Amino acid sequence: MIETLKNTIDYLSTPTISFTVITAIFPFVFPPTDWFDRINRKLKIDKLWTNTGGFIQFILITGFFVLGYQDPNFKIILMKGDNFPIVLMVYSMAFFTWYAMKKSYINDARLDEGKKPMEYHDPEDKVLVWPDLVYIEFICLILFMVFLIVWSILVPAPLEEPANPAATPNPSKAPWYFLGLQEMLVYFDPWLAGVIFPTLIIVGMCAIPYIDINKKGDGYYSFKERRVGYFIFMYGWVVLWVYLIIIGTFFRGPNWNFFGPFEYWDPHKLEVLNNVNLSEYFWVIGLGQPLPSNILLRESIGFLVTGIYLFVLPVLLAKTVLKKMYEAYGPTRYTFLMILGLTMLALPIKMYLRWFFNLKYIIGIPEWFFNI
Amino acid sequence: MKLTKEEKQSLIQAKSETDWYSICDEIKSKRNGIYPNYLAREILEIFNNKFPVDKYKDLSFGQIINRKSFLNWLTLGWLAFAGATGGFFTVIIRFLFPNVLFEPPQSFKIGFPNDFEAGKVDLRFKKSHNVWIVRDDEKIIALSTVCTHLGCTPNWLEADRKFKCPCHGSGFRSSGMHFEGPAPRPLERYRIVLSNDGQILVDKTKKFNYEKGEWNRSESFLKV
Repeated sequence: MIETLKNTIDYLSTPTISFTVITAIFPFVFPPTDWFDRINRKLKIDKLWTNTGGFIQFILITGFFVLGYQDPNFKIILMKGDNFPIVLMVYSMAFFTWYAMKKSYINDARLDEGKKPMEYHDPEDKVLVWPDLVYIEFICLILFMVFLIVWSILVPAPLEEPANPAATPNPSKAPWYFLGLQEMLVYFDPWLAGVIFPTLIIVGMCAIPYIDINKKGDGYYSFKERRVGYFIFMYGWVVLWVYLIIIGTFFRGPNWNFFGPFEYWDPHKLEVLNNVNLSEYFWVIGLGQPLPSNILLRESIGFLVTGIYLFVLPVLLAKTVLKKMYEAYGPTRYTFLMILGLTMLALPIKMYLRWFFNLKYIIGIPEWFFNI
Repeated sequence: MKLTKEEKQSLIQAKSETDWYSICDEIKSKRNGIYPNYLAREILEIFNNKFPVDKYKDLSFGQIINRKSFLNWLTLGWLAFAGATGGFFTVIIRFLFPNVLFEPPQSFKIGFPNDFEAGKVDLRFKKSHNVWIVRDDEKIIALSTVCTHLGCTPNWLEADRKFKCPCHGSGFRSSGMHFEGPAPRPLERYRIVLSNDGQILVDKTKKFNYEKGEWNRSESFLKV
């Protein structure tokens, strides 16, 4: 029975399946529109954010780790000092999401009844920063220091042998907080996944208050006031960052091959991957002729696809599906939102293209170190 | 509820601090013990006006410094600061230059062509010179051990007959050709020639890149 369960989890955790399932479930968990919201309530998914729901989430996560600890393969991964923060991260992620959503749903219900949100206070009634707030912060700081010191004593930092350029550890993993970045690097060229994307992530997060200028929901938890924004942010954060960190930690083994959590890390696991650039698909496989020697002609189809995605698509959307949003946002904010949103969406798109079509690069010009 | 006029008057006219506090208690009990912040602020303001305190009493300097001694101290302070900073940066800059620099020669001899078996990838020079020597049926090549994606060192997997990078999963054939993972171009080849004594000479200063069409140039491989 346990073996079947383990095999099922191994099978489900393949990125093609797990990523698709999470992406498909996501709008029902954080419904961005009325339609999703209705199904969310019908299926009682909103009960996830009650005390019982939180308890069930806790039991499921703990059950997974307890089951995993029994497995000799997963135990090795779980017990690595490096991976301890990931276990903490899974719990804290679940807890804070649950906490915020619980409060939001309570507030949304209160606002529907015409009451004020839970966090509402008489504007006259304020708390002093010094000492009320600073004392709390100071106590938190001390407790956290104690925790870190105890942790560093109980779980020593894993020291490895002296660095040797001839012997790269297999797999070579970045620090846990960069594993999402390393996962992006599997699908993109370093200048994109290592420079442009991280910059846009930081710039994008700074830009949130300028793009979403809805005053409602300020100062109190609320889901209903900005459910589209909530959905987009949570998708980028939970799926495109945290989930990739979890994949990088638990599911990436020797040769950066993919392994289920309970699978043995066989360094000779054979995965047939024969990646092809879009230019080869078009010229060699599609038209049956050799690649043109002119670089720009060779990659013209890639430039066309990228150009349509980045420049034509936003205009088309503004005229059709997102017309209302374009009018409400104005050209500047709409453009920024589109740049950030399309760049974010490029990651799952490229992942699927790689998985299903073995597509390496849409534009591939190694001569100029320019690959997309 | 804010303070009434009478309450304000009685607070202002309080004769001593004990008197003051009994009035405060009275105000509190009138409001059933409720004492919100805005009320406290209002009372505090009257208290501060009534019993002014010299806030800076403990902060004033023990002695007065005159202009000349101030300038002296200033000069001394700046000199000390500049000295410390200068010393710090000197040490830092010195630290940037290593005491011992290990740089193996860029061109080196690796033995005679017959030392290398056809169809084999030779790993002996990976550690010392970052080069793989690959011999097939017609030629010997010297491959760079740097992955063209992000610079890790791939591993040669004899069973699968491929180089596989442990960082992001790029794969290369024994010829250096890339075929899986994100690597955008093949491994680089180094100049390889026969020297006068019949040994093979690898010269890492000259690279041959496939994407520039350099792999068919004369010194990019050694015919056997």
